[in-house]
Amino acid sequence: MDRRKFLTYVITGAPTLTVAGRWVGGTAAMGQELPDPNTIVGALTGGPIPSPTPSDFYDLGDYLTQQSALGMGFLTLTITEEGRAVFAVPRQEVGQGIRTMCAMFIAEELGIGVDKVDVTLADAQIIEYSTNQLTGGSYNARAFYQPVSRMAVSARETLARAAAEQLGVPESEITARDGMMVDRNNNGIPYGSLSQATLVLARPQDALSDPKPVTEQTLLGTRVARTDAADIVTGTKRYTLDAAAEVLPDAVPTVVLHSPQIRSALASFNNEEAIRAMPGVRDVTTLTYIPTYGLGEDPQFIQPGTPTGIAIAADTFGQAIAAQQAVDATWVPGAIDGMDDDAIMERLKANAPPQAPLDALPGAETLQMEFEFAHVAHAPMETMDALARVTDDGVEVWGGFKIPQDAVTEISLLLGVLPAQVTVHCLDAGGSFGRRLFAEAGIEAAQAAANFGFPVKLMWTRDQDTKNDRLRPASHVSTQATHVDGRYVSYQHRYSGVETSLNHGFSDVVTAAAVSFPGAQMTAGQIVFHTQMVQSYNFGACTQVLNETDLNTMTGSWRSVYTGIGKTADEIMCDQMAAAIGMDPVDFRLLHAKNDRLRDVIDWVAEHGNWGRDMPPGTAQGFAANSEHRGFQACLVEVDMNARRPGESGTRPRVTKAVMAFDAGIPFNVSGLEGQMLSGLSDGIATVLQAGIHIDNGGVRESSYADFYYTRAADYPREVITHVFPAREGVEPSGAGECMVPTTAGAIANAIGRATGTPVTRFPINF
Amino acid sequence: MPEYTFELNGEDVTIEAPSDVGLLYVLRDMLGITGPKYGCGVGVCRACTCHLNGKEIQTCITPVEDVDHKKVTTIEGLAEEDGTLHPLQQAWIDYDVAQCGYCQAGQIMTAAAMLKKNGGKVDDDDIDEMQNVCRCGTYFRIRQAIKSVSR
Repeated sequence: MDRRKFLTYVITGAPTLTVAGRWVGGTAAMGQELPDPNTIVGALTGGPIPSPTPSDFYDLGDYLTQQSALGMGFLTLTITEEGRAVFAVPRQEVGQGIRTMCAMFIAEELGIGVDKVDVTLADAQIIEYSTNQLTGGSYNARAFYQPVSRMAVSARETLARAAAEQLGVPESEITARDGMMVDRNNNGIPYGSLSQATLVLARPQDALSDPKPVTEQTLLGTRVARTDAADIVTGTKRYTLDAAAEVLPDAVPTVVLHSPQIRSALASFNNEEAIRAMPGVRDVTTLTYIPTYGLGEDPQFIQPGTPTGIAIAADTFGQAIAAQQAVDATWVPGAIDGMDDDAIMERLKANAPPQAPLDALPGAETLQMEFEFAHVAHAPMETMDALARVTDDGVEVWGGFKIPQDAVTEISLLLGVLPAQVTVHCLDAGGSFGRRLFAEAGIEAAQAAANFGFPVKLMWTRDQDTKNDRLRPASHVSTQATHVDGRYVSYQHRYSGVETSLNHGFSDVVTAAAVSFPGAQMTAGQIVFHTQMVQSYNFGACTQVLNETDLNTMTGSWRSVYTGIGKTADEIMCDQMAAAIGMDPVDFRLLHAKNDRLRDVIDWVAEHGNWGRDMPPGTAQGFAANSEHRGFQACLVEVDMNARRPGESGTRPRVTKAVMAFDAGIPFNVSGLEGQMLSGLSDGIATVLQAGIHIDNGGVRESSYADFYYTRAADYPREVITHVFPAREGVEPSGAGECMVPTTAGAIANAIGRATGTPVTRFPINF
Repeated sequence: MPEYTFELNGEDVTIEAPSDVGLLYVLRDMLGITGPKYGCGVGVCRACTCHLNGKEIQTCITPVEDVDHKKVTTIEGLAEEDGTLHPLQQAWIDYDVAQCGYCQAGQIMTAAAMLKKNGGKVDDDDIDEMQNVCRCGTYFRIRQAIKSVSR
């Protein structure tokens, strides 16, 4: 019997009412998810009780999309004389495929191939893009779909007008075909020739007609490989340090040593002369950048101007690194001198928001769980790096910056120059996962170049990158659910984490400054938490409470931010709630899912993953689902608790199979979406199994991928099935970049719980 | 400073360098070969992987003196001289493997050396032995791409 039919007696399955947003002033307005009226009726008659949460109505992507809309009128598409479409997107490419996606939007409307579109990354533009240059929060498909498509529509209309004039026919008789404007007699003029006559500079607000409806799109919704795939496989793609040969050939390799403890300052540099005398060393200087932080117990812990790093420039990075390793320096005690993981977790438990009182209802039964999550590093493959030169004209910096305006602000403050004298160029980066929201290396590069008097290519070694990461904060989560005779009436989520630093603000200088006021940082955290944490199920009265503890450490947003932890815990709790009332975990999720879109992805994965099949001892299936960034995801995994890795005698858990489905509303690049799903699964594996950062005596213990062990080939399943749902009518595109992290982590934890008989509550399990 | 001569992607090069400096830094900072990447500097992440006489090496921990009068191949030298891509490079494009792409030169060079060592045939167990880190988590597509090339 079909699972859905089986459940229809309790669920009256009308789709959730979605008030699709109209495109206003450059943004797709939010799609408000209202409670399904049938669910409300169902609740009155004994079905699941609705659990509305703030993010159902207004989510982080709505906020970021509306904020960015203020600057969308400055987007400009140029058609070159060669007929190429050129667009500088005010975002950072880090592998998520934003350049390819924008190329597809443009190619779709112009009727050309993506190979005829050049999407570059815009420099920091603190006026035009004051609120429109933040890469993060999984909102860029939502924010750019309409404006970039409209910009291309406008270009097409301009080209058609020019062609009509040249051919002497009415504009209505002109159609776009294969990079040409063609009249009814098949007389065509290539875009390049038309642009030669009328320089085409198109902006979104000038479009007279709407972009193609989803049903008429031919490129969007298909699979398109990254536009830089060939450059990547031949080694010709230029990342920051590689680009020096072209943009800053005199740049000298430079590394920076920081304190072994988190947030400390240099007390004395004991062997500077010896370091200067080492082979290849060109110069040595101290740097004074104090990374932005929350205002905690002692905001003036490090006095401005105090050295916080030692920069060494040498002929090659090999020599600079050798010199860095030979430095003998003494550092003052760091921000959490003497603290370790246990001490931090004790603080988090002490600061945990209180759970709701029990026994409020006669006959109620309550389940409680507590979870502990260790710190996690971002560890992008390309460490933090930047190029910089300082001349009488100002400061020029190149690098991967998710908020380049923040780099401009911090550099101008540190070097005492006007923001207008600071130019920040964005270059494709080798990963970020949230790390490049902060620009420490770019800021340090600017100061090093100023101190040295020569341009630098500055790189943090892996050791420095790990020890100075803006960590995903250690967190403690407690969940509590209450049911009466098997009917859930309340769900309580209490999240106590080391503060996630959002001091970079939200692209613009105003919020960046605002969050530096006492208490404001905490408020920013609350906003992100409540606009991100969707309660996917109807469990009755639901509250979600965040309390952050500011330790003045180095933290930051890590892919999925609060949900990577919070929703993972919720999905483990979900399995326990099902068990408590004797239900199958998948049936339980289907019964309580807030809407049909979530039910559909659950159904698809349960069916294609053969949920419930017999599994040998020591292996198990696990399931999780989630709604986030207006998209819906489900994941089923199988784990083998006794897997063997080549060359190792012992056994360890391995995810052996994964089945994932994603309803992204309107899928633009199916290959890109599947790539994000595959990528999220890697993070789920890492954060559940063994990627954790230890804090010893106020410093990070790990120093490379040798001890901060991240997912490798032998940890990743050999069998993976991914499915992207086709476009839904009347819905907006969802975010994609972070969605699969909590879903996969939850499924893996649940599989391990089922294999061992004990739910996973401490992460990573091998720590 | 000592002088070293080796064949780099089919052409002889001679450089003066300290004997213990890593080949990666000679390639990148002295010879302008930027396909091999710095990822960890300690031979763990393998983003710097190249071939020495056809075998996989981690260039960040290979002193330049070790390659004197030998044959070094980087990702830039993997394709045919006429530009025809190595089958793995083409498979990487066909399977849309790369995301950020930073590790992929190393992944391809490791896979190419493995294919060569195994006579053009690798299986899932062989692929599991690859230690290269891909922080974006493209392992499934890497596996598909390699298996598509394996005999």
